[in-house]
Amino acid sequence: MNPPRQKRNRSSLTRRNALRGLGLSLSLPWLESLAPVASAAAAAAARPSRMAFIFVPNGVHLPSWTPETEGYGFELPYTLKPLQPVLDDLLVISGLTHDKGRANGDGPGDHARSASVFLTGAQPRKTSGADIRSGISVDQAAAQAAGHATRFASLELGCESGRGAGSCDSGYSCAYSNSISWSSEATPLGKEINPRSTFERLFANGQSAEMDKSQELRLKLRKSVLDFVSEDANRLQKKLGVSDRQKLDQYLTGVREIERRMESASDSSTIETDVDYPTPEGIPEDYGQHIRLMCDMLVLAFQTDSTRISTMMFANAGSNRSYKQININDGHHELSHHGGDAKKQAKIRDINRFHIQQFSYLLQKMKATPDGEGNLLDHSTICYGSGLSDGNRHNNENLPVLLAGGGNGAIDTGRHLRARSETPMCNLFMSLLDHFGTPVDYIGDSTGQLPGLSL
Amino acid sequence: MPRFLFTCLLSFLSLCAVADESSNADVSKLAADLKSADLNVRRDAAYALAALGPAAAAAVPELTHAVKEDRDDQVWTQATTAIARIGAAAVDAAPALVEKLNDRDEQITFRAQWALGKIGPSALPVLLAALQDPDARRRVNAARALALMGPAVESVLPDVVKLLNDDSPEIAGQVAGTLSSFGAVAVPELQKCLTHKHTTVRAAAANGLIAFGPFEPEIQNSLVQLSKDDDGAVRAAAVRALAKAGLPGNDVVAMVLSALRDDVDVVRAAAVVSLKQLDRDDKHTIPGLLFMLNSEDDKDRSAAAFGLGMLGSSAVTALPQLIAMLNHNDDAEAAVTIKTISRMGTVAVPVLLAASAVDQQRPDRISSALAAIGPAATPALAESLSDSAVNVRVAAASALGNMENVPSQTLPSLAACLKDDSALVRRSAAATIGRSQTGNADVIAALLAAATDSDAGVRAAVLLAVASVRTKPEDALKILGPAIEDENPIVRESAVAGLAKLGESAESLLPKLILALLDSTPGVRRNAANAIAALKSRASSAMSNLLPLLKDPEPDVRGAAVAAVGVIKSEDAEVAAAVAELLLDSSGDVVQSTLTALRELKNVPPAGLKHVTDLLKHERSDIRASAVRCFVGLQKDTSARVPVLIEVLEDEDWIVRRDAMDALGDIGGEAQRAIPKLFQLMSSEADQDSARSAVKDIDAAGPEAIPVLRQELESSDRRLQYYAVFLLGKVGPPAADLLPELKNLRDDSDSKRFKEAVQKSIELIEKKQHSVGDRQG
Repeated sequence: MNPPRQKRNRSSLTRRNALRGLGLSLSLPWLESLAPVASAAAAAAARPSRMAFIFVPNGVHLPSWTPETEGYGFELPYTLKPLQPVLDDLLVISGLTHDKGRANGDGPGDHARSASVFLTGAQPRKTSGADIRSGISVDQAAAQAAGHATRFASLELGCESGRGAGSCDSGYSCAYSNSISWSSEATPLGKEINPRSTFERLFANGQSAEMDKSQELRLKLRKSVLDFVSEDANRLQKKLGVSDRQKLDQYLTGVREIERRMESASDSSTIETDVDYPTPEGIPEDYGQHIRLMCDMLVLAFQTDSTRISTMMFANAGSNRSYKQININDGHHELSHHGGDAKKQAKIRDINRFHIQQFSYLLQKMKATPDGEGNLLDHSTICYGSGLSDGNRHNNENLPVLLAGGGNGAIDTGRHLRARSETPMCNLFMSLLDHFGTPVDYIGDSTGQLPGLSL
Repeated sequence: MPRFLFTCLLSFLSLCAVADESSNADVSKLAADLKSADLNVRRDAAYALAALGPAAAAAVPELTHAVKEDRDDQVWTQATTAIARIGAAAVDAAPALVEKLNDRDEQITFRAQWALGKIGPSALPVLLAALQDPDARRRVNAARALALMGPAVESVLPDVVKLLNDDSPEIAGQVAGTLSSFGAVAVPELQKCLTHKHTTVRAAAANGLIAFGPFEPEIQNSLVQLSKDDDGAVRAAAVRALAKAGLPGNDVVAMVLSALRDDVDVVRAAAVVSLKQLDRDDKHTIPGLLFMLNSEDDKDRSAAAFGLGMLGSSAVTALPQLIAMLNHNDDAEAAVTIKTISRMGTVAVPVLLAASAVDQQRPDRISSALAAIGPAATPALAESLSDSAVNVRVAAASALGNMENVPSQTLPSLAACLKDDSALVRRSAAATIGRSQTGNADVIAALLAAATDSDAGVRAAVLLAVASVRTKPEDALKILGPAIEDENPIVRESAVAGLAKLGESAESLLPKLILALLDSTPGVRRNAANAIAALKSRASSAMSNLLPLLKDPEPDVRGAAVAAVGVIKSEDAEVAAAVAELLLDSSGDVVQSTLTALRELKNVPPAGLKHVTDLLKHERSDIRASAVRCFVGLQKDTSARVPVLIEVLEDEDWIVRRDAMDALGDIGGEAQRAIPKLFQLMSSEADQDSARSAVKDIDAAGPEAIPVLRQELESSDRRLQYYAVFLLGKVGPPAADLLPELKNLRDDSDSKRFKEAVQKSIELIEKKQHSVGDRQG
């Protein structure tokens, strides 16, 4: 006699985490209805932490960056003003240093060093050959300990292409200028700069023949990924509670919105192409739009728990891109060597602010994305900065650094924190790794953790 | 079969032995490479050994040698890392590491401590000896290394505690900072430290105790006493520890709230941190802050508002009282309150909107508070645009306009508000649409249709908005043109202000603008001058109409008129003379505008230049800065320019100094007398960029610079040394006395580039010296 068939109820379902269709696996955000009842409360209360690092090149105009007062209740200076909507989630940190970004006897090559050292704190070997050497970056230190829990151990994104070999800066390999993530001393990780490719990667099911067919059909018929998973989505909707139906709806709307923006980016644009930066298909001609789409990918990746660790380079080290969208036709790197010229400094300040506007977009989007009981930003730590402080002086002390997000309650935000002069930036990374649950003995040139970061 | 297995086993063991021998050989080679004369070989070896972990144990002698002797930062760091990863088996390296514990480089001392910590208890003998070292830094860092071993070496605690008797507060404080690492066994010692003579020790002890709360009553009492300590850092540490002390809620909240009013900012910050921690577990915080909000003492009220703001949405019960505080007269207090409310997020929106319906409330502050909440408030505000209460609709429309960016999704609703029954709502909606700078055709059409509103205030707001959004110029002119002659002065003022925004598109209305210069209302005259200025050279025919306005009774009008004259430009001496008279105006803003305008005019009379020179000493720094730029434009005689600019280098304002330095750089070699002062400014962070730039552009130096340049030869800043060397070469023979110093500098330097620079200067001095000698001979 067969045992009686067990009645399946929602509470005994394991969490389903994707909608499926031809060549697609559309990861889902956290939905309480799908979690086993006993663990739902615990899981919703303890969402996993996420961590991301954003790099901008050529330093900043410090007088317009550094708040005048320390502690709580500070005023945002000109460059940081676009972050007003997320001021309470922000920690401005002054005084951190990357000593290994200095020449230390190796001569010129400040830009390449600044990118290489940004997340590693290690002095890179001066070479344009294959014998590159730096150190393990903080994101990879975390990924190696915790990356197994997600589909992708980490996600490396960027907005500017670049060679991985050859000399890019005074005898330093392009690998140093164009990468900030290093999985080992000799292994820089390439970054994805194409939003469409990133999107496909996030939502592909791993079956390459199916994926190719799916993409071909979607592009040919101008269909959305949602069209391919609609049957599965409809089936799922019936099993969800009211609140989760709304969440799913909001999420799918967001995915469709991103697809539409990618499509319109691929269509011909009225914005003048910058001939120095030819854009392959799938990459928007408008630089701001490009950055925002890549930010959307990062949010999607975190929201669907595809990964919990990411890096993004808004531009490569020493980037000389112009910023026509804010009426600046000069090259960024050229301007950064302002020599005290007030007009050039004003332009640099505006470029810095442009970058901050994109960062603000990312943070506001994360803040508006539900994640368990709270939002994605509450459960994340996003570090933004540059490996150079003043782009004109090429110095590596008092670096411009921002930390956003509560890190699941670990970071005390809404302040300006000034570290003691020459405090290694790697001390911040030590603290972040500790909060993330992946502590290490040291990273780069760390001398301990950064005091005053948390409650 | 067994024979086969046996053979396999033998082969396997042989392979292991071979592999073992091979890896031993590798380590031997790497160890030998650590002594190579080739830096890259040593670095590669160090990295490789660090990667091997315990397998590198055989290289401990060579690694120890590298720690003692190698001067390369990377080799040293990796050698230390290798020792740390070897662990206890590297105990022979401990003495060498202890030697490094008093290094000036914190990186080195930290790595040495860490490596000793990893070696573990087997390093105790050398570390215990180091605790008695004559060098204080070595003693402290030995304590830190022991602390890294944690409770495993708690037996050494008494030896560490002896260091608390150090006379140096810094050393004793640092030692106190290590105690908590030894675990709960350190609590009695930490307790004793709470009454130590050094403030650093008391503060470190309070901080150290935080990990071990809640406490026995004796420690609680000590912390309460410490929260009233004379020293701010001690009070701050005590306040933080009190949150974990386990005291009754009411008592600890009262103490923390008192700390919120402290004069020292670190104490207030500690109070905020404690509040946030207490609020998680305690229900007395909000009532305590609410009680403070009702205090008659405004410091109490501000502190309470600040504290509530830090608690964010969990303090929502305080909202009604906070909103009532918006009516207080003090703007600064109102600003703190607005910020506090904004931190509560969207929960505050309905309460604020409800408050806006009450006539007694300050609508501008309500609106500011709503806007400060940010984009999260948009849905509620959009809905409120159709509320039944007029004040609510006004508050919502104003708040949307006060946001950093007017949310585009609200524009259609705002356009609909242009037909609202209430003029106040229509006015607010128009102003907000103007701030959006939208290009939405439907919204713009609604705005244009509202230009003939019966209410003058609405018409004025609409006119400004028309010029601010992306209206087609021809459509805007059709609306703005007739409005210049509106019966209401506010409307005329807005119409002309709108034309100023349109710039050169308004050229066809120049005749009307000229007439507006004679308007009875000062605001209209002022805006007309601005609009004429926006036409630039196309308005040259208006010059004769602008000149009388230079004597207008209103300073705003005079300022706008002189600015317009400067933009249009003129070569007429009479125009320049009329403008120069305004340099003596009673209004600083008019003087400022005049200085800018004068730079664009020709044939400025000598009296004008004199007045400009006098203005270099004006009390306002922005006027002095403008005076510098104007002076440089007017004074063509370099020999007269340079001494004046050198004097300006003494100005207290960095922008004034910067402009003077830029001007000196532009002059070039003839400004070499400025070199001594420029060198002084190179040491200042605010001035160094401009000073260096000026020195490079001047590219010359005279004998008067020698004393300063000689001094800079000894500077620790290599860049300053370089400049000094370079300029001494420019000085030539008069610098011959410095040849011995230069030669020493050249010989002692290990930088090839610097040696070359010094040599070049030496050659220049000697060559010129010889040339002079030859001529004399």
